[in-house]
Amino acid sequence: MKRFRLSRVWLLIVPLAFLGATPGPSRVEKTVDTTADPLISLSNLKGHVTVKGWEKSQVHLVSVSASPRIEVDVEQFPPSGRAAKMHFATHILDPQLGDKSTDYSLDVPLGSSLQIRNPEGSVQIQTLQGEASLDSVGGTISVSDVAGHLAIRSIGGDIEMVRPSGRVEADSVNGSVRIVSASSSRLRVSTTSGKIFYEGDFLPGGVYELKDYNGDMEILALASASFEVNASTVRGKVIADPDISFKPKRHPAFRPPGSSSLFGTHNTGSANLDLTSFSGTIRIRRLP
Amino acid sequence: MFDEKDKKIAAESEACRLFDAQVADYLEGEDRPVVLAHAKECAFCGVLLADLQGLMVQSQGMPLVDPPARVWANIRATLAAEGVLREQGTLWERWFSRLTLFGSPAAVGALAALVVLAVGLSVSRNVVGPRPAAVKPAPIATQETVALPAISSEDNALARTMAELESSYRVRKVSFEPAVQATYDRGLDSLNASIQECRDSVQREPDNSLAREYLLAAYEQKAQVLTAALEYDGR
Repeated sequence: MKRFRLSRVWLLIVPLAFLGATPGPSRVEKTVDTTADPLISLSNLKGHVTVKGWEKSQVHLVSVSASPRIEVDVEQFPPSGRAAKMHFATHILDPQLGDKSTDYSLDVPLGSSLQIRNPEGSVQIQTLQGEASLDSVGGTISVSDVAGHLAIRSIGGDIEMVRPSGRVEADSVNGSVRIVSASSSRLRVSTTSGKIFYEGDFLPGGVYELKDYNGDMEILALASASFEVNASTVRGKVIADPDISFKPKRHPAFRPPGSSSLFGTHNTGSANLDLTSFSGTIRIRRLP
Repeated sequence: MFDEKDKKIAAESEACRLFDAQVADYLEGEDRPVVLAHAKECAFCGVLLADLQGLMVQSQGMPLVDPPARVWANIRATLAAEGVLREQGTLWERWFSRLTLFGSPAAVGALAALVVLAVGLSVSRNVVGPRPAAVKPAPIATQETVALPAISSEDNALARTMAELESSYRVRKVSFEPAVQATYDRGLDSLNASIQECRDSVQREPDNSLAREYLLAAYEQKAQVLTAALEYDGR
């Protein structure tokens, strides 16, 4: 009789132990009423973070963590009523955990401003009118249709911006930066060993500063684009394709001996394009 | 009666103003006879000069002491309270403030040293020493070999602070996830290589302003990456 009871206890303990050893993913889903332009901050470690703007004054969160020993905290301010600020944070309850990733999917009001840190994971932002500050150590950051000020920073991850229309500041060390169809009037991009790719037009009066160290830089400009270019390198090359013509400047800037540079005006030269590279190749081409 | 007194006060004021304008140069060793002459005639200015000279003599014997970390924290808190440092600035400023850049004495030191270097690079053509006869290709820098060979005294502080930051980073990085550690190491290796290459260029072409700009930018970026790595909390 006693032996029978013990075996029943073991029958309960063994499956529970298995459950503890191999915990499945945990999911959080939540919808919060907010103002039309809340400040949303998110601090994660690893995993994909996707944020999309929508017409509703609500934040809808779905997070999936690799383990129940990862906790997702949601804070809002004010604590009741429509939130003007929301903060999402991932907490690793067990530092020995193998997979520490949490994927976030957020739908946010179009006017939201974002501050996102996801050191080991990727960040993707779509359609937003507010500003966004995004940083990652090694993950890719991809942004499309953001109208507010963009401040993006990564150490090793690539950065991609499609149709940004606010002020842009993007910096990376080893990552490449790609900008497509920007309608920003202020754009500053730099990378040390990554490449820079810019495709599209330049706004009249706009200032575009692209700087890399030893990566190559490629500018694909529209035939109708109007800009004045100052391109210079220390040890690299500046190449303008023959099908894009520049009027030389009346007073060309001083060129250090041994350097390669190009100073000229395309069409009426209403935007300023400042391109510098230490030892990479700067190539300016016309969009077909 | 009053007119004469007024004239005397006005003449003293003029002489005092002249003394005030020249006393700093005099204390820095320049020849300013007006200062000594006026100090003998005017009791107030005489005492002031004696005090300043006394301070100079006594301060020469004082050791240079690094302020403790709490001093930087207090300065930051005071500046923030007075509205000089605004928490809600641009996103970029907020990014920096989130890294508590100014709360870290090492980072403040790095930035201060960068300012010194920036001035040195922009003002002095000889900041990286005399032009060598022939420059051998520099070895590729790794993260363990800090690319700061002996240069002018202007960036000694920077070299020391960078070395401290790097030393703290080497201790700190052990706790990082391997992927994060590898990413930071790769970034720092790239920056060290660029610093070395830029220094080589500036040595060869002291007039090359673009190379100077790149050198400064690489130092700045390295300080920022190290600071970010030191602030990295695994979340």
